[in-house]
Amino acid sequence: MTQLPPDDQALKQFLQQHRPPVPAASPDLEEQLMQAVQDSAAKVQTQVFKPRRLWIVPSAIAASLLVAFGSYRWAKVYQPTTDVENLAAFLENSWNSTLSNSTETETYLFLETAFQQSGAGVRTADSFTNNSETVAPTPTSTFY
Amino acid sequence: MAIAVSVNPLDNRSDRELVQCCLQGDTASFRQLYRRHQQRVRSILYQLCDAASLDDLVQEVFLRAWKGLPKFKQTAQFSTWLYRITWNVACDHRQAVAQNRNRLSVLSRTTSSHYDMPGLSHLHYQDLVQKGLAQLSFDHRTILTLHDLEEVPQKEIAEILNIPVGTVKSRLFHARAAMRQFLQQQGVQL
Repeated sequence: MTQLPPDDQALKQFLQQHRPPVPAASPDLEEQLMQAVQDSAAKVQTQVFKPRRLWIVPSAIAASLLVAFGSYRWAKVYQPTTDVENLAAFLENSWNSTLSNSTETETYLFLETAFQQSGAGVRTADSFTNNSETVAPTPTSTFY
Repeated sequence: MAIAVSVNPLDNRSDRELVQCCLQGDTASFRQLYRRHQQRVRSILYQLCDAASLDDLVQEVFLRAWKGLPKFKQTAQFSTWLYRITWNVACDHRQAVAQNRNRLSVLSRTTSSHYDMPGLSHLHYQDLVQKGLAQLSFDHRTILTLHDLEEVPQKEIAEILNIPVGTVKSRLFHARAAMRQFLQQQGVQL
């Protein structure tokens, strides 16, 4: 330790010589402390497993919600079987009614127009024959 | 509930070894650490706080030490770390309660009385030292207690208080000057 100036040395000596005595501890302080330490150690041991269990619960809930949501969306995407069936029936009915009300020529012209509008190209031959060619579709038509 | 524990009074394991045992759950080793350091912790707390709650404060220090052992860096000295906790507990206590100006009167009531002149002088000087420390700022009182009363090295004080060594020296200089001035005003010639 560095050498103290005389004044500081005298002061330090005085303080040490006349420092007030520290009151004694109560007789059971040590046992009280050790009991608290034991309780603390026991509490830590019981808490070791809780965090591991606890995080599983919210994870399970989140996973269940995800599966439920996914199932709902999946079902919704493939749900409109009825709607498709209805649409198919409507198309069939309207198609049949259209054909039944028109002559053969009109039917051919209708078919030709529909074909062009679908963008599949222009048939250069009679649709009733097997010999047909398809050229590039004309850009003027749009099929809805 | 009393716990029957056999602690070898001649246990000369180092603090580091005892800490290692404590980390394995050996509370008997912690009892050994307590017995080894409790007097100094008690003395520091007594100089910084009031005597009324001294037992509670000592218990608080060692409970915090037990709970904080897993975070204790083995590279540092256990005593330094323990005194840091002691200082923290003292700071917390000061913030929680008002300064007790009757501390000196409580001290004089609990101190045993002597009827011979040298005894009375000694009591008087003890009273003055206590009053002198009480009139210092908390920082100065801490430095004077740790360095001059407990003889903790300046470098260790710097670690305990987490301040530079230069600041320790500066505070020590001013603390001594303030204490010297107080004692001189009370008629004490050093």
